[in-house]
Amino acid sequence: MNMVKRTIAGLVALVAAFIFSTTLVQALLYVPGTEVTATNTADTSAIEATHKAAPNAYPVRLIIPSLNINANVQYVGITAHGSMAVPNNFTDVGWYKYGPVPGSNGSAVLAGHVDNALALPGVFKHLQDIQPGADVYIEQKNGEQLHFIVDDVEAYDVTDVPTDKIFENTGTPRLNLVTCDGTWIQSQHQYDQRLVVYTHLAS
Amino acid sequence: MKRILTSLAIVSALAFTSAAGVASAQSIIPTGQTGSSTTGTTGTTGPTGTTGTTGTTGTTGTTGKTGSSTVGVPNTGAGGDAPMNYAILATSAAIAIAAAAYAFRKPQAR
Repeated sequence: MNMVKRTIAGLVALVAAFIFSTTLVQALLYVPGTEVTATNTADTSAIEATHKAAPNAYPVRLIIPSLNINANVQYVGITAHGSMAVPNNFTDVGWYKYGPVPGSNGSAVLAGHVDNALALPGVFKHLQDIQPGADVYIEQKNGEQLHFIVDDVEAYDVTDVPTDKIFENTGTPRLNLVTCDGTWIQSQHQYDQRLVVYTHLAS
Repeated sequence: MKRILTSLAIVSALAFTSAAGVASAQSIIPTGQTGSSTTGTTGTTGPTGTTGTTGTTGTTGTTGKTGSSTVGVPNTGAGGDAPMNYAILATSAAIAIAAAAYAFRKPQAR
């Protein structure tokens, strides 16, 4: 009888340990939204042509000295819901690869997490502290650096985000940084605001 | 024995809660979702009735949502799930340690 009790206790310990480890891994690695192949976004042929013409201009690092950010850049597409995908960890930023390349005409968009599922800070935890006039640098594949200057910092309700403005494909070279802000909506598993930092190319 | 059964019940409840949490995490409400642009079919006019019966007009189709060419903004946070995750981690760790201690305890000297 004692042996049976011990065996059951051992099984309980194993199951509890399994729950602990899976929860920990999911909390640390969980990324909202699975990326899919873009099929229903805007006509990206012009953008793709730009990309092919300048593969060495792809971004590899984002550097913001005033916030002590020096992050690796991943290339992300869209989710099944039609939203921009996000990096698969909380320390990198994601460049929207179906949009303009940083430094070319239009608005290149980089997104980064504000926190993870254990409330540990993400790469853009302190993005709201950036000030207009601050310097933002993009390091390209070819080793060159692009210098952007912050114009404006805006927070929008998630239902009222000016996506046309953020993802604009034309105009002067700009770089927009996006992260989450505001209050957590449990039913939607997302924050109720988006913080956007608008910058323009200085050099 | 009663304690073990209680532990089993707690672990089962934890497993269910964990699974539910994962499931709900998958059902993210999209933001700025690209709208579908299917246009409803216009109804066809019914056949003119023979032997004096007038045909009826079919139902007019409704127009679908206008499609958008802009991608939606990303969902870049998960911190709101932290309290639930910490609760699951703490409870499962406590149960694992207690159950393991029971399973590997030394027999009492008589």
